[in-house]
Amino acid sequence: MIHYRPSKIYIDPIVQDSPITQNILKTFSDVPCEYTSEKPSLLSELDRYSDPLLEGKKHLWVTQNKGKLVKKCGASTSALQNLVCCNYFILDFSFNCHFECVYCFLQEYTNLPLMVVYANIEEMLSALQGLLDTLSSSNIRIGTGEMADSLALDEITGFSRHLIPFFASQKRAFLELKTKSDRIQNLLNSDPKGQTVVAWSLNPPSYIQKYDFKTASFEERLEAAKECEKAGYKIAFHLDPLIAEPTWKKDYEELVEQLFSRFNPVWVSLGALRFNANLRSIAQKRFPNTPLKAGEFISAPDGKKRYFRQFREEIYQTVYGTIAKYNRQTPTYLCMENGVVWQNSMGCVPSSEQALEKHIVSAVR
Amino acid sequence: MRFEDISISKIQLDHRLFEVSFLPDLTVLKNSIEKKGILQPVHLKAAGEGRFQIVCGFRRIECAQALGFTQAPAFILEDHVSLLECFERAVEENFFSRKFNLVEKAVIIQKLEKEFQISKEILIQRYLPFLGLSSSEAVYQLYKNILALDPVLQDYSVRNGLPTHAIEEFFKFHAQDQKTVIPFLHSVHFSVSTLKEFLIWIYEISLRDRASVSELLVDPLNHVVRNPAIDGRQKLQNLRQWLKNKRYPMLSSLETRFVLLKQKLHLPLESSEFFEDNKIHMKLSFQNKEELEQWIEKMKEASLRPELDELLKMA
Repeated sequence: MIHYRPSKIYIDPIVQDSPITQNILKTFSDVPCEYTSEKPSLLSELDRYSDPLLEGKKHLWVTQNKGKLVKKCGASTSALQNLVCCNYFILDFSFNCHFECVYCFLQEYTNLPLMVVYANIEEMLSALQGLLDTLSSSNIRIGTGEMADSLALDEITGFSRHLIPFFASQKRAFLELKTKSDRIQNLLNSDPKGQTVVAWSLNPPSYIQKYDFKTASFEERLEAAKECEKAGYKIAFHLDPLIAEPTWKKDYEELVEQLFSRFNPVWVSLGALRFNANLRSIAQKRFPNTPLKAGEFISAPDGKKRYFRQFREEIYQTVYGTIAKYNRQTPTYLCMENGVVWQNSMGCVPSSEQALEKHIVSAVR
Repeated sequence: MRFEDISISKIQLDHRLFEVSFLPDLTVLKNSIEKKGILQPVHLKAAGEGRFQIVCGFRRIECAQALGFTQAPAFILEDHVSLLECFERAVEENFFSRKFNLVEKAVIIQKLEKEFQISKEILIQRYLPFLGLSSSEAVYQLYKNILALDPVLQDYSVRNGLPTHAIEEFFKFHAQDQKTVIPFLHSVHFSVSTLKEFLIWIYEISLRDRASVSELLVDPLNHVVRNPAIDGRQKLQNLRQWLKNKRYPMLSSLETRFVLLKQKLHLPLESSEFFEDNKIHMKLSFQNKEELEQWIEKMKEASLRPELDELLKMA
């Protein structure tokens, strides 16, 4: 895995005393730093670079998240009809990622290509508590890996040192740290008390080499998962995006075999590759020879490019069928799919988002 | 700057340093010069020994010479005007009479860089806005790529007024592959969107199948492009079908099977777009009870046939 090191740091004075900011400054004491309450001026100059996204990521902006700190996953607002939602919540602690995954939707955010860390951790914890106070469910899952990798910068920011104890102190919600990194040192020094699940996004090793640049390798991810498991964390996997390479059947069967011979994951999600049409041209420029876009994609009603339905179902049936061979009890769910695909692939449709939420956490308890 | 009537024989016509035209349409200009002479004097620079170089007015001199004119009105620039200033004047003078096409802009950028040693940074910051372009590295690279295209593709792009997002699709092809697509451009009636689709799909097929574009296009070249029995529109239709089958083999075969089955059932059945939902749609029209009853009869018959089961399974 390639470690992150910015060429310049911008600090919003309003968060200069935050422990997150102090961690960053301590780690990068030799990196030029500018205190500004405005958006970094660099944002208006990035067009001058051949790859503004790559250039933008060299700059780290530490500021406060002024928006909604905890929100429901995008699936709940998707334009896709009959989408099965799993009632997932997202804590926006950071934006952007220094990894370079060919299919990553973050590449579409060309108006803010900087690495952004939101350092108002106290407000985040208050927002989390506020949310928990309003929900009656005992199966709440809150993740940080939507707009950033949960752990890629954790050694720099130290977020997990605040989040894991917070979740360890209550019993109704689980923190999910979703990652493609192997940066777990902070985790090994905390006791999750069963309330934190560390989840790795995975693909067959050769796919990771081809499409997940700068990330931890397949083996590095699994070694990190093993360390976390030993330290008392629950482990989960996201086979997302499932990519239909010519040898996909064999590749995913081998992947599932590898995972289940070494772990007993508390949940597994499956999600076939999908992307906005805009990403196709962005990825074309950034990764000109990638065969990723050459699959049989159609324009789905939500505007996203997806493999056509029957093919998605075949992929899910194959992968889910292999998982069931190893452990039929592992809660497995589809990400961003509709009831038809659920029925044809998994043999059932969850009756409600609460029912699916309950099913997903059933192996954690 | 002084004004003179200059003998065209004293002008070094082979000196093209300041020329920026690509595919100039000289018809209107030639007609005008034939009727009224050269109304707007050309700009020349003294080249020593009583000879001159053209700074602005290549097309005017070319037309005048072709029409048998021996003299041309000219402004002679002072000796101290640098070559770069001359070039800037040449570019600016054109702004008053026409818009530069994409290749001309690319030529200007290249000449500034190669002939006048303007650095990339200065080009991006100063000269791209001067040409009405965004001051960005991506735009600079776009115009460099345009100049690297096969000249026939440059010509096609300018003549057909292709937008840059379509021209960019040519960049992915190697020189040999660029030559391979040329016969398609000349004989198939593409719109901008169908051209893009052709270029994108053929490139994606080559990536997926690890085959060269030239290899892939042999078949449609022989059976579509070189087929004298069909016109440009039909060629486009055949080419798109061939491409779709190749690019989306599973989906295409599903669609073909659907059509075959519905024909056997004699009902106006339609799948949802790309089969995305699991419903089969049917839209009927009838004018009286008899026609409705005929439909009902057909539906009853269809409901007993195995083709319907297969269709439902497929959906």
